[in-house]
Parts: sequence; structure tokens; C-alpha cells
Amino acid sequence: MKHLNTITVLLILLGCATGSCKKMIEAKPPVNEITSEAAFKDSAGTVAALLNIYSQFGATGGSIEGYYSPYPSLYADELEPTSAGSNDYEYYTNSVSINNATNAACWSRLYYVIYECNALLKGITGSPALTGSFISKTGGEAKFLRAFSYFLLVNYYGDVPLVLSTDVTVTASLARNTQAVIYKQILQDLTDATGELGVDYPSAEKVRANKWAAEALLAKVNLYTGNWKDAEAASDLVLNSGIYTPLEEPANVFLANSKETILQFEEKYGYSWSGIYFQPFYGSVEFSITPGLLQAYESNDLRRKEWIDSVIDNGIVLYYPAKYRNSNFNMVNSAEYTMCLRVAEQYLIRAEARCHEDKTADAVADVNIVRNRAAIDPVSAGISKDSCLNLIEEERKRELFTEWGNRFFDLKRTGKADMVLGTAKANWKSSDSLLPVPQIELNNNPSLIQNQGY
Amino acid sequence: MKMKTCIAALLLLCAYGRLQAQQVLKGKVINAITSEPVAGASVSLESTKQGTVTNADGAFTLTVPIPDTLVVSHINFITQRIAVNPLHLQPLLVEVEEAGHQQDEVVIIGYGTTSKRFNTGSVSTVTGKIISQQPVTNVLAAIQGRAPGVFVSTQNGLPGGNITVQVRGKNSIDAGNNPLYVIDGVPFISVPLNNGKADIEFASGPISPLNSINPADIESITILKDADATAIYGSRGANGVVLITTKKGEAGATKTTVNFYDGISKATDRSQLLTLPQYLMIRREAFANDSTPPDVYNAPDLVVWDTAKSTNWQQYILGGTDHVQNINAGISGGNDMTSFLIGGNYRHETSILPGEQYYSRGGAHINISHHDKNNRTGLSFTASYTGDKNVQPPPMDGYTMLPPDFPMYNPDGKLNWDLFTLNPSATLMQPAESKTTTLTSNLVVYYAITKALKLTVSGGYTSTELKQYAIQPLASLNPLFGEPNGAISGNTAYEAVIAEPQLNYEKQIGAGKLTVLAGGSWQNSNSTATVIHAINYSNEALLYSLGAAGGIDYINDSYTNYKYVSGFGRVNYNLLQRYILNIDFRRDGSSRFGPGRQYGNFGAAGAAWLFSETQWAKSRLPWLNYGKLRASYGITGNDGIQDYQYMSSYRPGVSYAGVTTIYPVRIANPDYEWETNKKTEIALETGVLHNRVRINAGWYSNRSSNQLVQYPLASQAGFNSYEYNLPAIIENKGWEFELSSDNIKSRLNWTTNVNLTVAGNKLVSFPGIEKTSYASRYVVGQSLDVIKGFRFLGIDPANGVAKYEDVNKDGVISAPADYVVTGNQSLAFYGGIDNSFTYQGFELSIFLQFVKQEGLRPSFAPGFDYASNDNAIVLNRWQNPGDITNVPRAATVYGTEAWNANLDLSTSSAIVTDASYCRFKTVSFSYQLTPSTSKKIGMKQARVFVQAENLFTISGKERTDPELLTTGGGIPPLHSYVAGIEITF
Repeated sequence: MKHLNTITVLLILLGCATGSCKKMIEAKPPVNEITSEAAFKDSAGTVAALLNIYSQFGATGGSIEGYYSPYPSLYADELEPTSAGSNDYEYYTNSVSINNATNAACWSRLYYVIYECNALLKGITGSPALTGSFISKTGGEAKFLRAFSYFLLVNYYGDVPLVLSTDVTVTASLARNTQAVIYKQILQDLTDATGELGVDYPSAEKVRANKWAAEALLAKVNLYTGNWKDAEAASDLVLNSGIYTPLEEPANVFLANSKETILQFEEKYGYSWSGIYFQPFYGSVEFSITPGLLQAYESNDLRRKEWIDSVIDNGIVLYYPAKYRNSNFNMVNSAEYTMCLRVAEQYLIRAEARCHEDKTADAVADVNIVRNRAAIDPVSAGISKDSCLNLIEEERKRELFTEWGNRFFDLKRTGKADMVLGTAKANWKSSDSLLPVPQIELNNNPSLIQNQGY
Repeated sequence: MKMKTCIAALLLLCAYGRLQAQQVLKGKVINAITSEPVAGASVSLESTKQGTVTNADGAFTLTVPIPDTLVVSHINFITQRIAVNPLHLQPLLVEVEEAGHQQDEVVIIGYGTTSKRFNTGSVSTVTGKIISQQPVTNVLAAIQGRAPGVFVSTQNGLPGGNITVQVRGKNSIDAGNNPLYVIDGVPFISVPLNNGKADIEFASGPISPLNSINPADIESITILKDADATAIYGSRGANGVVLITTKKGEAGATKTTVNFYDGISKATDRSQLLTLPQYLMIRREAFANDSTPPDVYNAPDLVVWDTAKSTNWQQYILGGTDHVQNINAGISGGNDMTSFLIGGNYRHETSILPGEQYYSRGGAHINISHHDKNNRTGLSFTASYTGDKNVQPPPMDGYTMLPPDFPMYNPDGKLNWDLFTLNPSATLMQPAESKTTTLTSNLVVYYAITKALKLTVSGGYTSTELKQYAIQPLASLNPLFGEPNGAISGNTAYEAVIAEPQLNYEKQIGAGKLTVLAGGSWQNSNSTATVIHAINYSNEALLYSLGAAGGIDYINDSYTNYKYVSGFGRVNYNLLQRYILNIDFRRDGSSRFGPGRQYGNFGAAGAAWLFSETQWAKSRLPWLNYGKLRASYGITGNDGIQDYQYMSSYRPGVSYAGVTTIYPVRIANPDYEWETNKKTEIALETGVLHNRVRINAGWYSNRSSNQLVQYPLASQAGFNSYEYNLPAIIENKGWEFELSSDNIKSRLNWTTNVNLTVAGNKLVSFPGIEKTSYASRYVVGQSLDVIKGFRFLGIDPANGVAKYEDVNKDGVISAPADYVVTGNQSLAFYGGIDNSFTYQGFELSIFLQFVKQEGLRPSFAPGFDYASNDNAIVLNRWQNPGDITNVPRAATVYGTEAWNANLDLSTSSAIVTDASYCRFKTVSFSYQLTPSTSKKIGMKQARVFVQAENLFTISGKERTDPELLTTGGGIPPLHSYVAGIEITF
């Protein structure tokens, strides 16, 4: 009998093994991971997931500003490299190859952010433990970040796939959507966000988007799409909020939580990618400011004084952007955060919108606020619309250089890329106004097609 | 049931009735050749299993109640069976023949044993004796070249360095190619615990987990290769299985053995580098060629450093002597029912590297076996515990290429940071320490339910923990980067529990014997890792305390749980000891797969035909003593991927706005399945000339498919890849040959063992490869080890610039568009030759290992930069128009045509070279005192020995040691010389 019992036990064990004793092969989840469902079960997890998206843009937790500030400046007419390194040089010579590693990262890092936004929006939708207002507010921030990402993508690459889901069987093979479709989504997201976000910052510092950040980006997007009235209205709201004006001293603009700041990305270590890229290292710099940009300043312009510095390498004077002065090897300022949206740009947006609406005098007034801060003489109100637009373009060049591709995008949206860059750059072709879709993306998704000229 | 009990009772009664008639049998067991007594041999009666063990004089006494068969067995001898009759008992002299090299040697297989004769699968064994001839730190080094189809390569020659084993080639693109290691029935880890955790850099690189196993504790290492042998391990048998069996206690008089050796190790051959005057000449020539004056930025080696002061960096970095001392001691003994073994070991090694580096290891090994009088129930417990400590700096081998005039200190006494972070002195200020503790334990309990049916339950527990600590004082960091001082603490651990019940059934059916095994396996293992980077110490005397840090830069931790449950079985039928059929089956469930995909079925069939046993062969081929043809086919699996790939989850990331953020880790795929490997084998085994020459030849073909890869995705999906089964097929095909021959068999014995493997690896198909990033590494139709690069077309005699083929004819040389296949690092063939001689007490063994392969050599761009010396080959550089040479002109200015072309040398066919070699791997010489002399000095046995490892190597001169296939740097296996003594009393 004893034997029989043993055999029975054994058979049960064997039965278990061959059958499906579920428990026996159910692995415990890792202690350092939580499942997606668990992440959005409460507000703490949701906020943690949301804040990671912000961290992707700065130097502390990500890389995106490091790609989207220096490289479009090299690509346009603001910077030139001091030596012929392959990756950078391809940008400078407007011959970015389909396998360029920086370009591949520009594309993929933003789509990772978009994935994070989509996953969050999916996770909070219908999560029973979250309150309606919380869902609406975090959703608003995620939509703001998704809009910002698509704004960069569409200006770099033109048509891009519009991904609004995390289902790999759908997303991996999507084809490119037209710029109009992308802009429509951006406007939708920002319009939602302005309704969902409050005027107070959700964080102690200005490192999470509030309603004004969404309005500020909305103003910029409307400017880019030629919706002058909407652009003016949005920037009006930001400027009239009273939080960001009067304008900060130029030397303090890029410090953490400066008055100028509408939104910054927090830098735990107090330095940004622009600091790392531009600050001198071993007596030289990697990129120097082009003579063209240097000559755009009047001699007493505070921005020329505070935001541009120089170093002498082998007897040659090299000028470099010094908006950010801290770097990983040289901390000279109190903490600097990576600027995302700032108020001076809003004056220039409103100016340009007003100018297009033939309110030239109001436009000039806005420009003069920015000029006044730079301690240069105001422009008289009685100029023509064309001169006003030219003035705004020049002012934007002086004010926003090496920030988030502003110069390059401005030349493109005003239709001046071929004229200006065709003169300034030896190899410029019309098709260079769009960067190539990275070859690896085409390899992995046959529905994508390459931009012209590549 | 009742009936059976009745019969058993009857039998017992009969036996009792016979008790009066029982007789006592006395006898002695001796070695048939030497006539020396054989102690510890088991002597038992076949019917009752009653038995005893011979004493030190080989004598035994046994009662024989009924006519019976006496079975005399010993691990080292062929089992003898003799009919005995209680009515006619006389003192018996049993002569037993050594089992060495005979077909009846016990062969360990998965969940059991068999003999060479009746084995239907492909199995290679390396004995403890072979291992004991080599003074290695890591036992895997001792099986190198010893078994066909098994390729062992040292990744780093320093103590603790990783050693990889590949059984029959690379089967998998991404899911790992390590075999399954099983120590006394308990699976062990195959990948270094600190793999992929670069936080603590260590001169020996990732630490081999097998380094924690004391080589002297190992009885044998068995490598299972074909489907028949590996299918019983199911989903983990795809890459072969390495069974490590530790020593067990031997019955007999209590025996104490002490083995001690002492010796030295040195680095092997060095590269021929430029002397200081040659170096300076070529650097100056490069500047002259480029019409650029050297200055403090582009040429500190010419204008800042003292050009009169030369350092031989190879000598400085690798010139030290590793002094090794190793001691093993053990006591074993027991009687026919209980035996035990207790052993201890300690090893200490200094290092070839500069500074106070060392490695030490100590441990204990214990085995206790017991069974009841009639061997119906029994148990065996084995445990080993090892602790080691490895003190090393971060990797230093790169410093061997420093320019000869590089000064570690500036004239002001401060560290020289002209090479940014590189300075040997700074590296030596960052000692790292790693401590490993490993416990392996295993308990086997068996109970014979009936004569034919036996229940065995084995359970095991393994735990291994690696603690690492490294410090970075401020003085060791280049102040330019403003890095804070700090300490890194890493703690990784693995533990596993396994329980395996098994039923064995053995029965004579018709003219054959049926053996059935049915079993189950349940395993649960956890891996954890925590790495802490503490920074900003105000007092550097406290760098070894995490608590004294001013702050924590980061804490990374990870955890994985892996569960595994299986049912397995084997049916073996041996008809007339001539025809054998063996069928294995295993159903595995693994937690590495998503719900619904966890189970898989694996199995194999093997068959053998002993054609030498046929009447035809016996009459027509009388010289053929042994001939067997065997074949097998089956499917095994591979689940060697990361855990949790089916789970959508978030992990902690950086802190933002005061909150620790979380980020999505992966795109989960709930649908991937096992990688499968279909193995086919046909082999012939023979023994001729009175079995003195034994030749085996086998052909195998493994096709692995359903490849588990990180399938590339367009990043618009959010990630670049996810776990996915790809219908790619990889084929490993080859021939394996073994020859062993007793050339002379008398007072002088000479045996030769040769093994040879001719292997081939091919990526048979990979649908859509051109669209994946794998296209840059692999080519369909070629080996997985192809080297891709530019095709070097030589040097333009007019200007000395290196030329490459412009494959796509676009006028520029660019990667990867102009890459072609430039070589193949797959092994063409490899093997080993062992010659052993014994004469009286002397024993000499010489082992050669050989490999035919292609590899890379260091690039040879003359005068390239100030961070690196050049190989002496650059003395043949192009100097003047018209020079015909294969070495380009010296060039140093970044971006010039010549410089760019020189840069491309390192990814061109110019550095692909023959990396074949033949190594005098082991020479071992020993002398054993005659028994009488030993006795005189009060010992049972005494032996003195000298051993040399990696004595010298024959290979091309273009590269350093060919075992490392990297282009430069790396620390190849050391060559070692030791002398020692082993005494038994």
C-alpha cells in the first residue's frame, strides 16, 4: 500500500508537470518593475510616469535638447564646426546622410516620448482609482508634451507617421501622414491642454506645463501655420498673465526659474546640453558662431555681451554661444535649467502676428520691448509691413539663436531658406529643407518613404 | 498485491530454511595486470544484493546462501561476474581488468548512467585525472581541446576571467550559446553574475561563475552533445549540456590525501612595438608628411614630454609574476554501507599586473553516502562551499600601447592628464575588490519499491553571491571633468532550488532489457543585483564606507525570478546486447514565456547497433573487437533570453521635480516561443587490435530555428526592438574524430589520444535580413562569424595612401555601403593530441591543442596620434613616391585623405589574418614512490610532480596570443609552471 501511495504522489507530481500547474511557473514580477496597469492605478504612479517624459528633454534624464539645439544651428547659418568631425560636419555641410547617428536619434528619441505620452493617455483613461480632474490635468500635460514632440518632428522631417497608440501591431507599420494632419493633431492636443491645465504650475518650480505653457506653444504653432489671429490671441493671454513680465536681465534668463521662464526642463545637476556642447573644453570649442550671426548685433547689444563669449585657440578667436554657462566640467553659475518656452519669444510671436494683421505699430511696440531689454535703441513705429517683418526676423535671429532650431524653422516657414541658406552655405539644395528619414526606420518599416533628395 | 506478499513471504521462509546450509566465501580482488590488490571494490551477490567491500589488501568475506552470481565492481575496473555455489566454496582470486579506455567504462548521462558500449548518444568525458594534471584556476581551462565538438576559449587570462564553452558551434543569434551547466544534478549559472554591469570595471572582466568550483573536487566533466544525450534536458539542451560530477567518498580504509603545489605564471608573448627613437621618428615623419608643425595640442609626445625617457609599457603592465600556491586536502573512507569524503582547499595567487593585486580562494567539499544493508534505500549528500577574493585594478591591458615617452607624472609631480582619463598610475589608485561565495548542495534519496522499480528523489540548492567594491579617490580623476570622488558597491546574487522525483524501472522482457525512467523537475531561481554609486566623500580614508559618502549618485537594482517545471521520461530497450533503442521525452514549462506559451515538448530517438556482436562480424572480421553504429535525431530548445519580455512594465528612472520617475521598459510580446534546435547525428565506434586502438567518427548536423531575437522595429513604435521569434535557420555541421591507442602496453605504457573536430557554421536563411540591423553583421549563406569591412587594395605607390574597394562605385569609401565580407572567424578545425607515458612510478603527459581559424590583428596606421604606440610593422611604411609596401604613409592630421584612409585600416581586410595556432597546452610529469618506499616513510602513497600550462605556442607573428580574437589589448591565458607533492596516508 505504501508503494501505491508513493506512486500516486509521484503521478500527481508528473501530472502537474505535464499538465498546467499554473502557479509553478508563474514568475514573481521583478521588484524594480511595476506592470503598466499598476503604474496607472494611483496618482503617484501616474505622475511618476508623466515626469519621466519631461526628463527626456534635458541633460539630467535625456538627450533631446542636445539634438535639437546645436544641430539645426549648424544646419542653418548660426554655427560652424571648428574641426571636420563626421556627424557634425554632415549637418554643417547640409549633407546629412541617411545613416547619420544624430539624425537617427532625433527621430527615435521623440517617438519614445510620444510612446510615453500615448501609454500614459491610454493608462489614465478609465482608470477607476483616478479622479476626473486629475485625469484631465495629467492628460493635458501629456498632450502638451506630445504636441511639442510632433512640432519638432514635423519641422524637421515634414510628413511623419502620426502615432496615437501603443499597439505595436498597428504602430510599427504606419506610413507617414501629411504635415496638415500632424498640425491638426498638434492644435487639437494644445487646445485640449489649454482647457485642461490650470494657471498654477503643478510643481513648485516652473518645470511642468501650466495653461500658459500650452498657450505659448499654441501661439507658436499658430504662427507657424499662419493663423495670425489665433497666434496673437494665445500670446496675448500669456503676456497678460502678468507672471512673466517685465522682462528679465539677459544674464539671468537661463537660470533656473527665471522670471522669463514659461517652461523649463529641470536639470538636477544644474547644467544643460547646450552648456555641455558649447562651453570651451581644453582651450577650444567644438562649434563657433558664424560671422553672419556675430555681425547681426549692434556693438552695445546686451545679448551680444551676455550670450556670446570667446576663446582664443592657436591665435584664432572663436566665438561661442554662452546663454548657458554651466557644463559638466565647469560650473560657474547657479543652477541653469533647459529652457523650453520663454516670454521674449511670445512678444516676437505677437509682433509677427500683429504685423501680418497690418497692426504694424503694435508689432513694433512688441519688438521694442525685446530691444529695450537688450539695451539697444527702439525702432520707430512708422515702418512698412515688409520692413517690420524683416525687423522681426532679425530680432528673432538675435534673440533665439541656438535655441530649439528656431532660426532654421523661421527660414523655412517664411520661405527664405533657399535664398538665405543658398547664399550662406556652399552645398545648400532646396530639398535640404527637410532632413532625411533615418535609413534604419525605412529598413524596419517598408511603408515609410524617404524625403526627396536623399 | 496479496498474492505478491504471499510469494515474498514464502521466499523469505525458504531463505531462512537455507540459512543452516550457508557457507562463507573468502576471496581477494587483484588488478589483472599489476597483480596489486584492489581496495574498495564492491563484492555482492546478484540475487540478494547482499555484499561487502574489499579491504586495503583486496580481501573480502561473504556468506553465500544459495547458488548465485558474484558481482565484483569498482569504478576503475570492468565489472566481473563469477558463478558461486555454497556447496563448493574455495578461496577465490578475482582478477579485474582496468576499465580505462574500455567500452565498459561508466558513462554519465542526463539522469542516469550507461556504458560506452550501450550508449546511443554522443557524450565526451574529461576525467578528474586529466584535470589534476593542469594547475588551472578555472576548471573550464582544463577541458580545453580535450573533447571533440567542444570549443573552450579564454576571454581573459587573469584569475577569475571568463571562459566560454561552445558545444558544436553557435546555434543562436541572440538567445545565448552557453551550454547548460549541471553540477551534481543541480543547474548552475553559465553567464557571469556581473555581465553587462559595467559599473565596476575589473581587469579580469566579467567573472566566470565556474571559477568558484575547485578543480580538485571534480571527479569528471561530461559533455552531452547530440539530441539523444541532450533531449532529456529539453528546453535547455539546445547548446549542449556540461555535467560536472564532484568526488564522492570511497569505501575502504580511511585515507587522507594532501596535495600541494607552488609555482609561477607569466604573461605569454608580447607584441613587437616601436622603441622610443623609432616612435619619435615616425611621429615626426607624420607631421612632416602632413606639413603641419607639432604643437602642445596635437603632439604633447613630441613637444611636451621628455623624449629622452622611455618606458616599456608592456613590461610595466604585464611583466609581473603571478606566484601561485595551491593546497587540497581530503579524508575519505567508509564501509560497504556508508562512505564519506571531506575536503578542503586553499589557493593564493599574486598578479602579473603592477601593484598589490591578488586572488585567493578557499573552500570545503563534503560527500556522505549511505544505504541500508540490502541497498534498498540509500542517500547521498554532496555540498561544496567556496569563497574567493579577487583584488584588481580596472582594466589595464590597454596601457600596453601607451607611447614609450608617456610620463605618468608631470615635472611638478602631479599626474599627467594629457591623455584625458588614461594614466596607469591613476588606474592603480582605483583598486576594486570582488568576493564570491558559492554554495552548491544536493541530496539524493532512493528507495527500491520492488526489485524492478526504484524511486529516487533529488533536491538541490545553489547560491552564489558576488560582492564588488571599487573606490575612486579624487587624485585618480582628471580634475578637468570635475568628477567627484566616490565608491561603487555592487552586490549580485543568484540562488536556485530544484526538486526532481524520478522513477526507474528495469525489467528483462523477452531477449532484451527494458529500462524506463519517468521524472519531474521543478526549479525556482532568483537573481538580484544592487549597484550603488556613492560620491563626495569629505574624508577619503573612509572610501570603503558607503555611509561616509556625502551623497548617492545612483542606486540601481534589479530582480528576476525564473521558474521552471518539467516532466520527462526515457525508454531504453537493449535487445541481445546488440540492438539498442533509446527514446527521450521532455515537456517543459518556463516562466520566461508569456501566458499560454510556457509549455513546449522536446524529445529524441537514438539507436545503436553493435555489429561486432553479429556472427558474421565475429567470423569475418576477427580483428574487430568492438564495432557500433549509432544514430540519433531529436529536438531540443533554448530559452536563454531575458526574463519578463512578455510583461508590459515600468522601471524607476531619474528624479524630476522631486519625484522618482518611472519609464516604460519594453514593448511586451506575449506570443514568443522557444527557440528550437533539431539535431541529427550518425557515428561509428570501433575497437581493433585487441581493442588497443579505438577509433570513433561521427557526423552531426544541427539546425536551429524559430530564433529568439530582439526583432528590430521602426522606432515610431516607441522602441527599437522587441522579443520575437524569427524563422531564421542556423546550421552547424561537422565531423568529429577520436583516436585512442595503447601504443605500448607493458612495463612502459604509452597511450595516445587524439581528437579532431571539423566544423562549419552557416546562416541558412534569414527572411528579410536586409531590412534589419542584423544585415550589418550577418550574410545569409555564410557563417555567423563573418568579418565585414572594407576590402584593402594596398598602398598607392605614388602617394602612400591606403586604397579600398569602392563597392557601390559612388566615389567615396563609406561604411556600411562599401563593406564586403573580409574574413570568417568560425573555427575551420580544432582538436588536441595527448601522449601519456608511464614507466614504473613515472608518468609523463604531453598535451597539444590546435585551432585553425581567422582573426584580427592590430591596425597599423603609422604615427596616427599621440595616444598610442605602433606595432613594429609600421617600420615598413611608405616613405617616398614609388615605394612598394603594404603599410601606408605616416599621417596624423585629422581628416586628411591619408589619415582617413589610415583610420579605415582598422575596419578593413588589411587586419584580417590567420589566427591559427598550436599550443603546448599541458606538460605534466610525476613520480610516484613505490608502495614499499611509501610504506617505509609511513605513507600509503607519495607522488611528486611538475606541471606546465601553456608552455609555448606556435602561431603567426602578426598578433599576440591568438586565443583572444580581439584586435589588441586583452590578457591571454598565462603560462604557468608549478611543482608539487601529493601524499596519501
